[in-house]
Amino acid sequence: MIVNLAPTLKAVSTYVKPEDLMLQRGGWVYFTASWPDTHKWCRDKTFEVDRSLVVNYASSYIIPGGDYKDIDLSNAAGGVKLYPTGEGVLYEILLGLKPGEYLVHVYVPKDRYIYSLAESSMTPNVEDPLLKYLGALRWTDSPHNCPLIKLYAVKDMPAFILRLYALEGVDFEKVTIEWHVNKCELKEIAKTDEVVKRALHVKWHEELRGF
Amino acid sequence: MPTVKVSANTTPQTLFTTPKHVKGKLIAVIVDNQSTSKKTIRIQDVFTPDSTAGNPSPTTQTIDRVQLTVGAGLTATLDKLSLEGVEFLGTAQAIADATDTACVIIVVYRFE
Repeated sequence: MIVNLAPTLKAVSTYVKPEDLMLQRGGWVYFTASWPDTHKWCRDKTFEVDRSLVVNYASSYIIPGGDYKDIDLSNAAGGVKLYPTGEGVLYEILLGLKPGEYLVHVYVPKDRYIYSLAESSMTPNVEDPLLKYLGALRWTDSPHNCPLIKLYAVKDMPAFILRLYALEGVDFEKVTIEWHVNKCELKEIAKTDEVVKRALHVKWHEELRGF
Repeated sequence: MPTVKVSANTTPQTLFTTPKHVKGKLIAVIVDNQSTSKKTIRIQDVFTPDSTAGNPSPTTQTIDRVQLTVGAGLTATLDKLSLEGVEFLGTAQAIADATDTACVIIVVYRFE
């Protein structure tokens, strides 16, 4: 048996244990009813984590100032390939950003931003001098030695796209992202009110829009 | 901490190659110029950027990160404070305005 916790997480806080931040054996997960029919195996169902294992990885990109690069986290050709390939498996992906002068915008799928505001013009845009900061993550939002942003992926889910934008004023920036992929094998359990109430809710991405 | 020593040369002398997922930071640069003429030393960063939206076919870049001129018979030192914020993304190399084994360049560095 291997118990493999990302050691960096131990430094988050003396009041937070790593197992509070990452799914562990026995943890409950609920996939909301908004998941489409293409994901029937998990839609509106509850699961218990049967086993888990953290796999570390890293990606780096050198980007000129005032320019950007999109990276696809899915298993598509050219992607970073951080998605599971089988049903019954959930990947909990922590992203840790190393220091630098850059912004990160999150899309899912490509060109569909998550972090926007209600007014129609308030959508992230790296080519706009003001809107490039809307919804943008800085490295301090999820530092590599204390990653705080988690993404959840299942087989054939639409791709998470990270748009990495090197701030103007730097010649080139090396953007390094450290990934901690917590592979969780799931076992379906009876869906009771108690389980739904206490489980981690994994939402379909459309649930994060429209308000 | 790793240290590298090269002599002044008009052909670039490799100091270190920065690993993929880190940046190179200089801790100290010492130029001991015991030759009979002043020397100008440049420390360059050589790397190839990734393809981006603005440049899908990038080419190799060579950027001067540090430059100093040291008089004949003198030694110059750049310490950590002077080098604060200087980062290397690729291969660090030293290049001089003249080749001379009596002029020695020592670089102390680390990765983070």
